[in-house]
Amino acid sequence: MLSVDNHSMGKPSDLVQGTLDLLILKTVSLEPKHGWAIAKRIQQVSGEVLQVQQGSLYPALHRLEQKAWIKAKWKETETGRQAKFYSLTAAGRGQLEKEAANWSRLSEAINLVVETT
Amino acid sequence: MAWGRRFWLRLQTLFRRDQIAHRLDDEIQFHLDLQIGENIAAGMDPEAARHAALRAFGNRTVLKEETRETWGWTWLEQIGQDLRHGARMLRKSPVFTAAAVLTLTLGIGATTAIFSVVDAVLLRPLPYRDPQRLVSFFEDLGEVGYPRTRVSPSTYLDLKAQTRVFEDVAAVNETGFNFSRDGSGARQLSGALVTYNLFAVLGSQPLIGTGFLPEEDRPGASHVVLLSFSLWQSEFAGSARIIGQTIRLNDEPYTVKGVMRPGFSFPDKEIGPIQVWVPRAFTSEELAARTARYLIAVGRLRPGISLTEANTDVRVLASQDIRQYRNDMLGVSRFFAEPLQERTPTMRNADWSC
Repeated sequence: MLSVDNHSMGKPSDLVQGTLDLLILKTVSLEPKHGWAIAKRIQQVSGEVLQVQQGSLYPALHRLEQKAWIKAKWKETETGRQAKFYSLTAAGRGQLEKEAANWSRLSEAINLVVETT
Repeated sequence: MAWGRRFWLRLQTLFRRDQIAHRLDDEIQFHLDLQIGENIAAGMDPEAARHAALRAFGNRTVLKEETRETWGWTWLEQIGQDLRHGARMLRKSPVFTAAAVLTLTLGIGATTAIFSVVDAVLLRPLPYRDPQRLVSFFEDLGEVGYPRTRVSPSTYLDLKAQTRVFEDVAAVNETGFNFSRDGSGARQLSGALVTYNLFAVLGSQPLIGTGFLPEEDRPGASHVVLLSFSLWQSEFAGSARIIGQTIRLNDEPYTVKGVMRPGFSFPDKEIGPIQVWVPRAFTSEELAARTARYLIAVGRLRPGISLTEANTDVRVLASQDIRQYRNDMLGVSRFFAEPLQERTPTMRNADWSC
């Protein structure tokens, strides 16, 4: 699962279901990536705060592929090995916009609650 | 075209499951190798790098299982596993398996056999028009051991006169004919002597040609014959020119009037299908012999008349018959009608029942 690296608590807490989908869709929307690169990218961009348990990416990737939101293609990497590269489909782009909008609404709402004194 | 892609993937995950599972292994191995490489680059020794990569990845068996579940068809896969498990268990205990197989074989076989008989005798509708209105007649001579005999010519005429409940009644009995063509050797045909109205009563008209006319079942009428479909095919090559031609039966000429439909074989019997039908004329001696019970009588109920209602009239007839002719011979004799069955009673096996 995806966890937030919560240093003060010492123990990561699980993120809400569906958030991983959003992160994957966003990550592959720029260019095709293989699983490991997606995991690395999420960690780097979030400033190492979001720690993807790497293996949990794969059920999510295959589920999104079955929904036809992402498509997969086996291609050669720079090192000459075959790897499975995922990229966004047209349907996936629509889904990404929907989930991103949902996320914005949710986080704004939470912000409002938390910051209201 | 998201649905097209989804459909295509579903087909792939159903029919190329092993290949896709194999590629998932490749995908995960590729991931682990990159992570190990990164760990080594960060200064770990290879063994520690491998352990760290595996730890970061998580439980591979569980994750693979979760991934397979996203492909769908898991239920089908589980049925397959159950079947394989069942087959293994059966192989382990051959005696039990043999007993189970034997039990099932006998059970299914017996059920099928019984059903075939029930279907043929009771369930399958007869190949006649409105078969539920067809009845056959019997005489009950139970006191002398024959509860279901055929009827005599005079009884047939009495039944035919019951026009309140029956549209018409026909009679038939089986016979054999010597059949010869163009001087070649004679062969035996199974035939039936019928009253002219048999085909009308059953509601089965000839495939080609015509049925018999009322004047054709009287004494002295010219000889005419109807052929079965299979005889027409085997002896006359299915030629329509057979109508009006003459064939020789028992060394006498008979004019062919028509050919019956395939499968028509009344009265169908164990001895085999009827091949020729010839009108029968009752002589006055035959009509006088009230105890010569060799006729299969078949009647058609008038619309709206029930079998019970018809039997009331038939029983009145029987009691008159007893008073007039039989009171000296048999204490109780009565006629009765039953729904027509596929097979009709034989002469010898008078108490035939099903």
